[in-house]
Formats: sequence, structure tokens, C-alpha cells
Amino acid sequence: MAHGYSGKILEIDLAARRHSLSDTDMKAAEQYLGGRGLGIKTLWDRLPAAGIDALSPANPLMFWPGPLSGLPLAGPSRVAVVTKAANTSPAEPNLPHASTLTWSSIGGHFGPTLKQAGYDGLIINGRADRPVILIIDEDQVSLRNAGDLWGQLTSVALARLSRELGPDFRILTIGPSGENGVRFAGITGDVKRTTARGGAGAVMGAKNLKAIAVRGSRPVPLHNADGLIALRGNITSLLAAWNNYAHWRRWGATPLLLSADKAGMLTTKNYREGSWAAVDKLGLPTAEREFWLRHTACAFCPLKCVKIGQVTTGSWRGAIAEGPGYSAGAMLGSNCGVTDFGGLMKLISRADDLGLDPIATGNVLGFVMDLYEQGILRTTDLDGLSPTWGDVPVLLQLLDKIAFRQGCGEFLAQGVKKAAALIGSAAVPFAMHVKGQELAGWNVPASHDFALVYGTANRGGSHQDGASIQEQHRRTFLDALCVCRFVYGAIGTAPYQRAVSLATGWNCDDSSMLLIGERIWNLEKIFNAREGFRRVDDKLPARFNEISFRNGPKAGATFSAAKQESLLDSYYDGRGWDKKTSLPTAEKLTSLGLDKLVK
Amino acid sequence: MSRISFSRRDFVLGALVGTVAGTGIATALLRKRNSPDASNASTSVFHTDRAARITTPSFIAVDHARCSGCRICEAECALVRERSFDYWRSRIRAHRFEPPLDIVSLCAGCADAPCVSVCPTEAAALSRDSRTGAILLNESKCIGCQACLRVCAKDRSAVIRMSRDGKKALGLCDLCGGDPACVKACPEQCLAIVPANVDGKNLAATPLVIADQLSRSIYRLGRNP
Repeated sequence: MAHGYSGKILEIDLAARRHSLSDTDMKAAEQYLGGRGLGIKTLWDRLPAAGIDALSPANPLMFWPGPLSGLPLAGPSRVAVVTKAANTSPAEPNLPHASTLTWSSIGGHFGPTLKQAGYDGLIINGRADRPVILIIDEDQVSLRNAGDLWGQLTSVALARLSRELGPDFRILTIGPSGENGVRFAGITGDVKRTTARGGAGAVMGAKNLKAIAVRGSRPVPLHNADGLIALRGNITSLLAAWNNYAHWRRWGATPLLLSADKAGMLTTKNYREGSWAAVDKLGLPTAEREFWLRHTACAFCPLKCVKIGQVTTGSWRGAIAEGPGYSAGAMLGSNCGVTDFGGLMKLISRADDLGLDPIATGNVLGFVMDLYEQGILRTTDLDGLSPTWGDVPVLLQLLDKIAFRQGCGEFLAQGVKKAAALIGSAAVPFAMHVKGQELAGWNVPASHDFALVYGTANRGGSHQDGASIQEQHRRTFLDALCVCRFVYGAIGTAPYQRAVSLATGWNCDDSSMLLIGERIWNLEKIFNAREGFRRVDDKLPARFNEISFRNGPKAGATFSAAKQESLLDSYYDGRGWDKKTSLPTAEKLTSLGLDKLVK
Repeated sequence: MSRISFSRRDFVLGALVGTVAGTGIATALLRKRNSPDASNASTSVFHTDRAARITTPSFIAVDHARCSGCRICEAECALVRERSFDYWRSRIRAHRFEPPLDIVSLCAGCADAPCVSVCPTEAAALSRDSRTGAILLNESKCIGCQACLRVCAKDRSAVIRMSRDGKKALGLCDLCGGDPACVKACPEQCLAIVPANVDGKNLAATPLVIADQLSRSIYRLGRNP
């Protein structure tokens, strides 16, 4: 009997409006666990060739909990969304639709509930002939017409569905941006957070799927339930002993805005600076004193780092939003030159409601304002708008134009890489992306670690993947378990290795953790290599070689072209990958058991 | 020297992990193994040292405004009271609303107990614990008629559900016999034991009704998408 797994995967055929069950491949589960791991393995198995259009019915949209999902432990509260990315592309594409894979995860209660509904994974195939919603009530699976839910903002869709189905259901939904195929649309969940990176919302929209609601509470068989109950007490004690426990519960990730500013790592005005004079207006202390109304937690976690508030004064009075968490605060705040708290929260609120990735959105808006300042984009190119730094009313108009793909929103909805190509060669240097994925809220010149993080992340410019090979493997292992980065930061990987052993009966330790992480990482790399991604795609925008911070504590910081090359050389060396092409060597693939997957 | 105190929680978890509970040495060993640092035991979110024993008829009131919706209470209830990871069997459940609100609901122990009144006399599956004030469900006597479920849903908190096989009612809170596990487990300390000279009936409402009222007070500037 499989422990830690239900053994069943729910498959939805949207075109035929049918669902079916398939068996979880337990041999693959032992090698890839679940979440991001089992997700990429399944994506590789389901997509036999390169170049499939991410927005075509052939691209499966998959939701993967892990073997720990649903257990009452702090940490594994997330769910991994795995699909072929809608927004990435290689520097030299041989195929028109070449793109990376993407995995994107979201906290809350959806993942644990999907697992307890009885499923190790949810695979959505095809495209519905009209907009639908998917309702999973344990064994009862149904598709119903979305009706006028299609077109609604995410907060409206969540409120209406929750009222209609009952508050036991945990819901994910797309907003207008996903419906309209914006390349950086995400999927919004029940704690005001988003599966942001890689355009999973556009993939869901292309399938005519508005929302997924799930209810369930069936536990899966466990190898050692008593041991897990004891481990639960252990994890609770470890968290409580964490020296950041009290302030993390109080402030969440918001103080990172202040610490990143101090370290010169805050993305400011399209990455040209690493600190922002108005940073103290964007998060603490205003957020706590004037704005926050409640703290919300993901499943079984006492950290409750989701902060929800309502703007009480000024033009944006009444706006309900989350955070600012670090990423949204940096990208829609300092990167857009925003100086007022209410304006930042209104931007976050609107981006959430439209279902946009707040990171990519802040990057795109910074790009537009930069080009406007340089004179490369003019008012006539922007439907009469004059986007200057921090002009929130204009930024809000741009958000809506992007989400509904109206006017200039049509080319901005393609993301900075494709938008720059459409605008012209003068715009290209200002597009801050890797592999077509907009860079996130950590700047590079003062901390070159992020050059490696952004450059080598398999989903393109993501900040989540770790700055050393071993750290990449640890984090990949955690993503296969759907464990939150913040809880990991507090208590490390050991409790989760133990949890895997107790749940599944497999022996999980440091070496098996790192091997699983490396296997997943290399399979992702192979996927991308098949699509045509090479060494040149692992490099940061050349503009970073010209930026030298003028202001702040790290004034003068730079990132040289030579440093870029030496970072990649030693990285490929350490990975056992070819330095010229960046492709994994045959020996490396054999050692990971991946050689049979590659011709 | 660290002082070792025994609480019901240690006792129950001891039983769960197959230790001979009640023998102090085994329980103490278990506790030591669970805590990487015994001096941190008092900072555990389970607040084992703040155990509150119910000595007069009482019920548990929820400070909904403080609840984070983490569902630690829900898991604790399933583990301690039902020895199960099946949260459907939890006697305290968290519900999620938009704009963001998490509403925990559990039995209010209404003084007039309409559920007890409607329980068919031949079944008599529901009764009042005269010591704690909790309404007790004798599962072996329950005939699954759903009369209690209907009256609770119609007039009170709607906490009563049917078991997965549809044969038995569940969801009534027995206050863990006087030392409720959820109260100790809540990291937000938003569960309070209230003597029944306040009638829980006055607080009883469905999660949706509570969410609508609370939404007006918390998001007092209205929903503004």
C-alpha cells in the first residue's frame, strides 16, 4: 500500500466535459515526491516534443500537492501549479512557441484540501467550448458553466463562489487578465495571494476555466501516524524557538522592504537603483498603524504572515489589499517610483483583482515609465497617457489596459521581452528579464548572488531558487513537498525529511534530499534545453553591466560582464554541465537516472 | 532544573503514540523527545502550562476578529478527540469568506438546547453534561434522523453534520471533558472558556451570518473592488 499518497490523480477533459482517475506512478513518486517534482516529471511525459503552444489545448495545466499536504504540520500548505510557461522564450528560438516549463506555487488551504479530497494531482487537459468552473467535492466532480462569473474580478468571483458553494470550499480563480491571455496572468487564491510566475493564469484562461473549487477531508494512509503526531509537536516547538517568531507573526515579510533598502538590494525605478528614499512610506510603520485589520494564515501554520487591510485615508480610501508582502511592495512600490502607501495598496489591490502577477506587473510598469522618461515611448504610443514615476492614477489605467488588452495594453500584455521587440531596438536594453520572465524584487549590483538565482532558475528570472547548487537542490526538494520558504527559513529541511520518512516509509535524509532536488533540477533543465535554451539564456540583461548605483548605501555598486561569465563557468562546472552549451553531460544524466529520457 | 508538569494534553498524546499514558516517566520522556529544548516548552504555541480546567458549566466563545484561519484548532480537535487526521470529524471548524475573514464555529452549548429537545425520546442520544455544561452525543444511540442537525442549522450555529457514511450526527463539542484541547492549541489565543451564566445561545449564529456582520465592522469602508 502506498503511504503518504492517495494513489489517485484526477484528470479533467474539458473538451469532452469528462473526468477520470489515473493511478499515481509510485515509482516516479519515490524519485520526484510530488509538487514541483512529480509535476515536471508528468509534464515531460505528457509533452513528447518541443514547441507546443502553452496556450493551446495540448498544454496540460496541473495542480500538485505533495506527500505531506493535508497533514497538520506548519509548512506544507502550498500547491504547485505546473505547466508549460506562457511568457518565456529562448534568445534564438527555432520554434515559434518554444518556452520553459513553469512551476508556481500558492499558499493557503487549496493544496491540503485537494489532497484530502483524495487526489495526489489534478491534471486539466483540453479546452472547454465555453467558460466553465470545476467543482471537486471529494468523489463528486462536476463542471458547470461559468455564466457571468466570466469577466469578474477575482475578489468578486471568490465571494460569489464561496457564497454559492459554501465556505468549506477552497477556491482558486483567474481574473480578467487570465481570461484575456495576458502572458503574466496568475491564479488567485483564498489568502489574497497568487500563483504568480510563468503565466499559469493565461494557460487557465486559454482553457476557458474560470475557477476551481475543492472540498475534502479524507486522510491518506500513513506509514507512521503516531510518529507524525509527535513530529507535529516538535515542529511547533522549533518554530516557537525561532528568534524571528514573534516579529514574523506580527509583521510578516513587510520589514524586508526596509532591510533590502539598507542592503542596496531593493529594486528601484526599473532596477537602476538599489534603495528608495520613500521606502519608509511604503511598508512599516504605516502598514501596521493605519492599514492592517487582520492576519491570515495558511493551513496549520502559526506564522500568519498574510496581512490584510483597508486604506483609510486619501484618494484610495476603501481599497482592501494584502501586505505589502516584499515582492509586491518592491515591484509595485519602489520599482515604480511610488511614494505613497495608499497608492501602493491600491495598485496591489487592483493587480490582485485583475489576476495579474504583481512581480511581472511592477516590472512592466517600471519598464514603461523608464522608456517614457528616455523618450523611447511617447504619449502618442500610450493612448494619451504620460506615465511618470509614481503617478498612481496613470499606473492604474495602464493596469486595466493590460488586463483587458486595450490600446497600448495589447503589446504590454506580452511582457517586457516581447513588448520591447515590438517597440523597437532602442527599447530592448530596458527590458529586465531572463528567458522572457520578468525579474523580481531583488536587485543585482549590490548582491551578485541574485545574478545566479535569476540566471539559472529554470522558470526564468525567478528569485526563489537559491544562489548555490546545494541550496537550489534543498529548495527544489521543498517545492516537491509544497513547503513554504518562510517556514523553511525558520526551521530548515530536517523536520521535512523526517516527515517524508514517517509519512511514506521511505528513508529520507540529507543525501536523498539533495539527490531528489538535483534530479528534478536536471529534468527541468532538459525540458528547457529541448525547447532551445542555452548558455546565452542564463545571462542577465546587459544593462546590469552598465548600471552603477548613484544613491544609497551601496552607491557605486556594479555587476560586470566578466563577473557574469565567471559565475556561469563555475556554476556549470559544479553542476557537471558543459560550459559552452550549458547542457548536462551524459555522465551527469546517467548518475541521476535521467539518461533514458534523453535521446 | 526544569519542572515537569503533566497536563491532559501530554496524557492524550501519550496515549496516541502508544505510550503507557499515566505513568509519569513515559509521559515525561515523550515530552522531552518532542521538545528540542525543554526550556522552550513554555513558549510552545500549545501553551501547555496555561491549562484551564472547566469547573462550572461553560462554553467556548470565539474572538472572530483575531482568528487567522490557520485551522490548528481544527487539527488539534481531530487528533485529540477523534485520533484521526479527518478534519470532517473535528468539533471546531474554520470557514473562509471574501473579503478575507476566517470564521471558526463550534457548539455554543445553548441553555435551551433545541438539539436535545428534538432528539427522539427513543434515541436519547443527546444529553447535557451537568458538570461542564457540554452537550454530549452518544454515538451508539444516534439513529441518524438529522432532527438535531436541522434545528441547529435553522436556528443556531449549524455545527452539526452527518458522518461520512451518513449514519451518525457529529460536530457537537464535549469540551474535552473539561480541558479543551483547541483552547490551548490556538496560537492567537482567540478561544475563551465562558461560564454559562452568559447563554451561548446569544452568540450562536451560522458562519455566514457572523461573516456578514463582522465584515461590516472590520471592512467598515465597505467592499470596494
